[in-house]
Amino acid sequence: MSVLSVEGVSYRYPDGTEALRGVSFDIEDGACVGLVGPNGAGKTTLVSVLAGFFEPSAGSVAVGGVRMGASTLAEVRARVGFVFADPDDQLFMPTVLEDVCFGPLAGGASPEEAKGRALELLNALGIGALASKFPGHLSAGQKRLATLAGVLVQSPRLLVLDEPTAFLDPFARRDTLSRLKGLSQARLLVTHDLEAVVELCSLVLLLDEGRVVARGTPASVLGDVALMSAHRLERPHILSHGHPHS
Amino acid sequence: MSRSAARELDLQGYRDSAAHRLDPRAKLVATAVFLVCVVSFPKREVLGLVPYLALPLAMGALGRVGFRPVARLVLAASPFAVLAAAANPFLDRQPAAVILGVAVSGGVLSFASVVLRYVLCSSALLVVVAVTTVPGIVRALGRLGLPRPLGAQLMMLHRYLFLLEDEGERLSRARALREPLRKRATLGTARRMLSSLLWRSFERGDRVYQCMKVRGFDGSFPALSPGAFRTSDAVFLVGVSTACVALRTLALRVAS
Repeated sequence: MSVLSVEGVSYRYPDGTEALRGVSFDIEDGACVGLVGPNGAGKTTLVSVLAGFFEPSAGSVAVGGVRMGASTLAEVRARVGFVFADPDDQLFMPTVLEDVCFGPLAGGASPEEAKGRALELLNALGIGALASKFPGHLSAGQKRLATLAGVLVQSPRLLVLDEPTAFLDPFARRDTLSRLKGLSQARLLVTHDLEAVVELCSLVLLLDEGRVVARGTPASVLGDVALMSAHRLERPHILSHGHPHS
Repeated sequence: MSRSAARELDLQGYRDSAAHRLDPRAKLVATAVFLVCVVSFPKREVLGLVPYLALPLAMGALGRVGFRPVARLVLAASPFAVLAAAANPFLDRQPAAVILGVAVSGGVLSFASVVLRYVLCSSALLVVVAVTTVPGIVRALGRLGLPRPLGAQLMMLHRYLFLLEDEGERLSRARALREPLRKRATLGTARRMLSSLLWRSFERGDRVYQCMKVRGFDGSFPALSPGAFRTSDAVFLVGVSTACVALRTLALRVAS
């Protein structure tokens, strides 16, 4: 069953730039889909459409069968967890625990329930000891895990991860990837980290100039040197040697 | 200079100490009593105000608040207080007291009184921030009756002030790296940096707001646990308030 259904979505910026042109794809329950493309391909615009920040000029988005619109926006957002590229934008509460609790409390959970869920999740992610810390004091990897906890605590059916490995050192990147791999939710991984896509995703969408120009398994799309080169991308090393570059 | 001191002070609020553990409402009300007592003194009073220095000092020591950030912030805004009272020594030249055999005019006394009151009030407020956190203060104000929209605005203001600071620092570093021989930006560069700062801060603020919206932000910042008002909080509140009022009463008696 489709968790996310994007049907012919187009978006034009007020200055006339056509950022998305008839984008369509589905994400099945539990699947991990990679969205890749060069800079300016429309990836961030698509994330903004999925988050309901931009209203598509054509087409529709449905999450769990609920079509996104002004009246259903809150319901749709409650089903999707967004992890944005810069964790500093996302962590806005005074402590890690309060930040993770923000979503459940805003959704009507009792403080005890929210705290219980948040602590359980923070411990599961290995950052339970940071609960009382000020988010600004965390390392980039810890911030990434804290933002992940902040969305997972709301039990979303779909995770939209915008550059989840950005700003991370190799160890933190590896740690984040292994945690993302273990999640049961459907995931849309929007990234330039093509090796991460190979490791995590079963399907890849290649977006360029607002269109999905290729789709398929990571090996078939990212392994196509001519296709990658035509869209200002490079075949990831992991596909050549079967292991990450080190 | 005062920018990083503000950040330092803000971060001190997340420490743990006896002062930090006090209920923010107790600290706020006690500070309010302190402020009322300080401003209620006659305009030429100086000596009667001196004992009040003990409260910010004791609170700061209890909360292990660094002296430097408080002093730097007090100094940063001090020109306003000094300017406000700068004319007093010239307007009121009548001798009002004799200190160590020297006649001191009423204007000099009122000048000293204004500056001392400024130091007392600003340091007390800064120390409360350093042992409470701004969000903690806003929540306490909410529980004391501050309307929710106003509380949300204060929280946003706090968040956005530091965003502005972050963006300003990045811009400043970028300029310094590209103009290594020039210590300060020219007026033209500073003007362009300011417009860029405003635009970047606006965009960053928008991103933060969007992050909040997708997580269910509806205009309020829900608190995890309101926390109970304990006996120690009551003892602190009554103790500080009584001391402040007693000092004020004592000064009144001495004056009469």
